[in-house]
Amino acid sequence: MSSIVIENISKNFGSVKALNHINLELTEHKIYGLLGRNGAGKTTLLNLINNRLFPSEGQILFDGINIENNSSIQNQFYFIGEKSLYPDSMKVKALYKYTKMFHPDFDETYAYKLSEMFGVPLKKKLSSLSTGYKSIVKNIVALSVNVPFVFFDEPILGLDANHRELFYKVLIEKYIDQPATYVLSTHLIEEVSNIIEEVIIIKNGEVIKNESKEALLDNGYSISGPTGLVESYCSGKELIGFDTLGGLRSAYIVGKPDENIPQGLELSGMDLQKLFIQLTNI
Amino acid sequence: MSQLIKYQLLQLKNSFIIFALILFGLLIFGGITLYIFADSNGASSVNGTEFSMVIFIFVIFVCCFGENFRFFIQNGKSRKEIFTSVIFTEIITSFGMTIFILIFNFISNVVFNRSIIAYSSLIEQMYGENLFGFMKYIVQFIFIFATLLVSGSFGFLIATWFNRAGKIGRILIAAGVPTFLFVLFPTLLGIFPSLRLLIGNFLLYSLGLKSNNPLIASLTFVITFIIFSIISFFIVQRTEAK
Repeated sequence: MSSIVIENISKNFGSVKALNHINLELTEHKIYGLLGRNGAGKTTLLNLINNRLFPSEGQILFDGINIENNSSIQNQFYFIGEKSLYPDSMKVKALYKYTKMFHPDFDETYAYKLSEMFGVPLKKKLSSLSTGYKSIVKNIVALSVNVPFVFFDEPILGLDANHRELFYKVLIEKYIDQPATYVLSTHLIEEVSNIIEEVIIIKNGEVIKNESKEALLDNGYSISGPTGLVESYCSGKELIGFDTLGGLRSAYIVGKPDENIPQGLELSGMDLQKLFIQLTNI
Repeated sequence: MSQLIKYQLLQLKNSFIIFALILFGLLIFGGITLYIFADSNGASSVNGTEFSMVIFIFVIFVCCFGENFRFFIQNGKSRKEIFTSVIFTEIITSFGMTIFILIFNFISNVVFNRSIIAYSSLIEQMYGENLFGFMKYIVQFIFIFATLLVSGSFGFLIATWFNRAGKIGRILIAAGVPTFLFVLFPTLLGIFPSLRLLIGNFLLYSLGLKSNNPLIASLTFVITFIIFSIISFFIVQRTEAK
């Protein structure tokens, strides 16, 4: 089974430590959600995996081989970032043609089919596309390139609700049809929570959670009720955050709930976004 | 690797076609104008095509690197592969343009009748005419090829350096290099006659002007191409795609 192993990776930009001794493993045929607040280090990590930046410490291995400046390995990854590395003056059609030149498995027919679904103007230059359509074109290329590991950094930037829905649908269909590993880094957690299987949460350059979505959500719950009751319930438990409204409080707890919940308190599951917010609040 | 070379050559194709059309346009326009207005005792002259090619190849390698580098990184290519492909592209481009120049010079010599207008190539201007007898075209080929090679590699070096540099570094390169070459350096030569003599002698010997041998200049250019390429290699290896 192929996997990307990130060993003790750190990255400094001058005096700023963007990543601090990250250890992770990305295995094949999974959809990962790479979540984190602004400036947490998600894009830096993706840039390191995809050979755009060099680590200050540590190494990244693919099947035991260092990925740095290794074409045969990098050809198995495809990364679309917020910042486009495509030539601005290139037309959409030409982009598909040249991507096919570099990636023989690039499915041009599928790319054109997706372009029609999304309404992409093929003869336009990339620089003249709107923000949304730039994201769409990048997504289409990433979905058509047919490599084992595909990384998306903010794939739904600028997309309207219809296009976002279509993107998720197409991604799932592609995943079912030709399984690969997809890593999605996004701020719209509520929307992607239905499609991701594994969750990686980065906070201040460190990984604070790296587990399956089910395990993460199973291991957290919310308890609501009068403030005093909630406070006494929470005593001795791993409290990660709370919201107060008047005399009522909602507390977010890591762990399994007690078998008997005191009367007056209401137990509910935590959704991924709420859990993320509570885990990453300063 | 071949994909990278093919891509770069495809990107250069249009620029080269436009440049060639301009040159031939100037040839036709210049030819007609000079025939109408030129002095019949051969006082008019036409030259500078090779030098324009030298500048052209310098400019294309300065301009293309950044965009191509980022696109190649996007498509999973290693920096070593990118560097090697640029070197091969330089060699192929220089070879092709050398053939073009030789054909262009031949046509120009036919168009410009020497009794009215003197057309002189760069090698003839520097080393005189009728050099090396029947080997003339081979020597011309080697000389022009080496000149274009060193010019392209200098453009590549500037481009890699510029891409690697930070904001201040880029300002220093963009403003500093031309200022040094065209202002500071000539000023220093003017102020220090000993430096002028040293540089002058170095150029006379390294360009084969002392011995009137363009092959010495060709060797100097090839060595300089190798030095520039080695420096570019080390710069490219640590360039981040941002």
